[in-house]
Amino acid sequence: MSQDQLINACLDKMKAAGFDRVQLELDESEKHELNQQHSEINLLRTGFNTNLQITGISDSRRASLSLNRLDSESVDQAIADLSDMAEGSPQDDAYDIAPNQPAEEFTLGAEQADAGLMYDRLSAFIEYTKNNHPTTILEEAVIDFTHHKTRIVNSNGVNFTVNQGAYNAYAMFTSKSGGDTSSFNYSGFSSTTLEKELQHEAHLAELLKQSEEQVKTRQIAKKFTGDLVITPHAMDDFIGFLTSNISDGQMIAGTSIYKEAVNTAVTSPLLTLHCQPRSTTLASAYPLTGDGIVAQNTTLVNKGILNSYLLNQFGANKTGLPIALNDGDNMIMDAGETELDDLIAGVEKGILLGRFSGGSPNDKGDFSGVAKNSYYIENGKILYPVSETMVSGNIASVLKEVNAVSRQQVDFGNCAYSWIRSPGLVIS
Amino acid sequence: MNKQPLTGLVRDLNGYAELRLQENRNSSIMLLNGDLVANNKQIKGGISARSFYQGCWGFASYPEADESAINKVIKAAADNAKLLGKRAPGHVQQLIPAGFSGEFDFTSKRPVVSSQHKIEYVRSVDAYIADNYPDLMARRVMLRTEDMEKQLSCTAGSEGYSMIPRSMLYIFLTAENGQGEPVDMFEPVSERGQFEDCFDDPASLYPVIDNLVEHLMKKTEAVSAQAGFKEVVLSGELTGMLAHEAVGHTTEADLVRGGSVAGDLVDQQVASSIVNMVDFAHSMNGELLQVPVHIDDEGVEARDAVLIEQGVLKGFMHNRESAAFYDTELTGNARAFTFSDEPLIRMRNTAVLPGNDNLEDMISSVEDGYYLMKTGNGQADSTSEFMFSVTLGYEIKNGQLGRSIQDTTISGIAFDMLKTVDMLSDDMVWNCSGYCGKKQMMPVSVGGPDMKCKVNMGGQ
Repeated sequence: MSQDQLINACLDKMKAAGFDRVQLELDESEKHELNQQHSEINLLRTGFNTNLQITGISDSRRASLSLNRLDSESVDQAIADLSDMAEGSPQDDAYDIAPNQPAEEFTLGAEQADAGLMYDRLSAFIEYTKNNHPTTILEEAVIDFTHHKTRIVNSNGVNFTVNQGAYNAYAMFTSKSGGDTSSFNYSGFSSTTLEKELQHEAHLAELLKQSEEQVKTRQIAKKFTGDLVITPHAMDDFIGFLTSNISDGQMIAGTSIYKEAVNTAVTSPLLTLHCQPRSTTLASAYPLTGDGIVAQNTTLVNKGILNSYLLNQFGANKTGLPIALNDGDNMIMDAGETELDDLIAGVEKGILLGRFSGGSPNDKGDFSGVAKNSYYIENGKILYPVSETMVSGNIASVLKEVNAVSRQQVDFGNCAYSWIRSPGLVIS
Repeated sequence: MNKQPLTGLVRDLNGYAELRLQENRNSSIMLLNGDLVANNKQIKGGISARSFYQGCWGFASYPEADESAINKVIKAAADNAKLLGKRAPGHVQQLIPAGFSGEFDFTSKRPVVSSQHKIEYVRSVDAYIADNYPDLMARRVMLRTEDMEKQLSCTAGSEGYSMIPRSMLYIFLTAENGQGEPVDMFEPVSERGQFEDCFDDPASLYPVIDNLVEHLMKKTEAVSAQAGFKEVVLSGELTGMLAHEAVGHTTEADLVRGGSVAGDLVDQQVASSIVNMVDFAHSMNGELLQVPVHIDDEGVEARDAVLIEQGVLKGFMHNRESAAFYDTELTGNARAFTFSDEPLIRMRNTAVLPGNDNLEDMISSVEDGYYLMKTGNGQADSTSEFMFSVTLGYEIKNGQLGRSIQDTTISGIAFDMLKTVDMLSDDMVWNCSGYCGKKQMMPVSVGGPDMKCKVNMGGQ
């Protein structure tokens, strides 16, 4: 049975089962993944999958189910299960599916993996690490290429096709010298071409160099209040608090500290954040939101001012606020005007935060955690890598108090961030 | 899942190879302030093959399991292994050829309940909270069920079948403090078994809810913890997290080979002599545990891995390859999350064993410290430095419990911190509410007694 035949049969069966609104997403994927462990390329994986996600609304009751066996018996059973699930659902007028939009086919990225290039890039990276960082152990390094063909169809007439292929790669490493061991560190990126050697992506060359330094660490002498320089690799822990608090869960619950914050300052005026699903440069670009609505690029925070929430269709219907024009990811931070060296030179006492290992912040934004792969800064100089060092503060305050943004950035292929500096954190 | 005749197919392969048929079935129901915001199911299954050639692995997976799909994955896995093995052979050339067979089915024997019934159950729990605690700012009740069903055949002669289910109910509550700010807490209730075996009468959860609200109200008046190196009593929940994060990950043999500090510490004192730690395969003292693994995904009989005995580091958790590399015994720790995942070294039921003390004596022995009761998440490091969040805790002053403390994080170097342990309670708790993340997700359980020790506290 072809994709279209399967979709049409499924739509008919769901209508016959009593669903008045139906949305289907049928995805066929093929993945090729090359794995390195302990400096050996020792695993090649090939994976095929299909996935059919069916969402049905019947008399304002909603249920959703996904399955990857698409024979007629499995699909019939899934629709029967969906009916049982929907019957148990309370009625809610906020449930909906994507509105009618012009049919369109989107093609992004590469269609096929270049397996030879994947092998060459990975083996060159292993050699680079061996030759340049002999005390560093590449614990794990993975390159994969995944191609998806996805159809999104619904009873409102939506009919989209998305063809998308991209490479993803990451490396995780630890250094050992004598009896000393560094913290592990890692970085990764997305790409449509693998055009650069891996060490030249996602700041990997610099992180490998730092890993060798980090076998010898020191504890800070005593607790102090100082500056935090957040590297691009640690940025998601901070930006993520903002995005999650303007999304469905916290907004519907009414517990978000940003619940009435649109058109007000939520960060320092030095910060501007764009969400770019339709980027022509990011490998993780996407044409449709999770609801199946054509996505648009937006500026989420403009010089500190929050422009919009990140509510999906249900969240928007539930709160009466506007629906977001994208899913809030593919975040691009505008580069600042401060050279990174100057940004660090402006720190009297503080921490360069390479990686944050901490508990999830509470609803107020209070957080604490361990500064991993991080350095102590004093009088504008990076002095030594630290261990057993905790950072405590409030994320909302950190974002509001940012007093410098670097000109330099790291592009991860799915986001791009600068280094930022914020004062007033407790370091212990 | 319909079982397939895999044996004949896998025996035709050269060298070590395995075929695995697997289906994961999950459901999720969540109410947010009474609104149903999740009512989902997922069924994901298929066949995978993995083949070993010249020290390299080939793997392939397909979402169907008919003869054509099986032949397709066998060929692709073998081709992938040969492609790598011919270009650059791996270090480990021979795997330990131990076989094991058995069927371990933990499917509920009770009548299957409908999805409607499960939603009604969650709504009853939610209604109790709404009726009895109307001043709460927000409430979320989430039910998750998970079945993991596997059939395995490998060239070492293993034939295995397992169906391991677990059910989890999470209650998240938010109250407002005196400054109008949100203060939140959550309680997970998790059990081995399907919904029918784990959740019967919603009223059995009411005391759990009452207790959660009581602590939450105290937390609305919480004070900041004092940052620094502090004497603390960890509840069994936190001790279990410590066992998993701080010691468990550093003693997974692949991470040891990748540079974990534990590799240099075998047969050395890494903890006080009252500390014993084990990754249990399926049972403890004859009692079945929450994630019972009898046969792993390489067809190896799952055995307990003793990690620390009387404070001395004794060994690691292994798969076939790492056991061959370290020339040691198999432990059966190779586990894969879905049909399309390769087996990795994963924990099962990791615990610190109980001691001889009781909680009251432990608290009364602390002059100035904290009793830390609940955690949200944790992470480990190759250095054995760990951290985990603390979502509920109290001051201890002169042996007495004091004020509630705000959310914080604790950390330490496990193999230093464990040397400060001087008391362990004579009872223990287990929970299986979370996933372990390591390339793939994996259900695990953790357990432990109350533990008195010294750690770094985050705070003011």
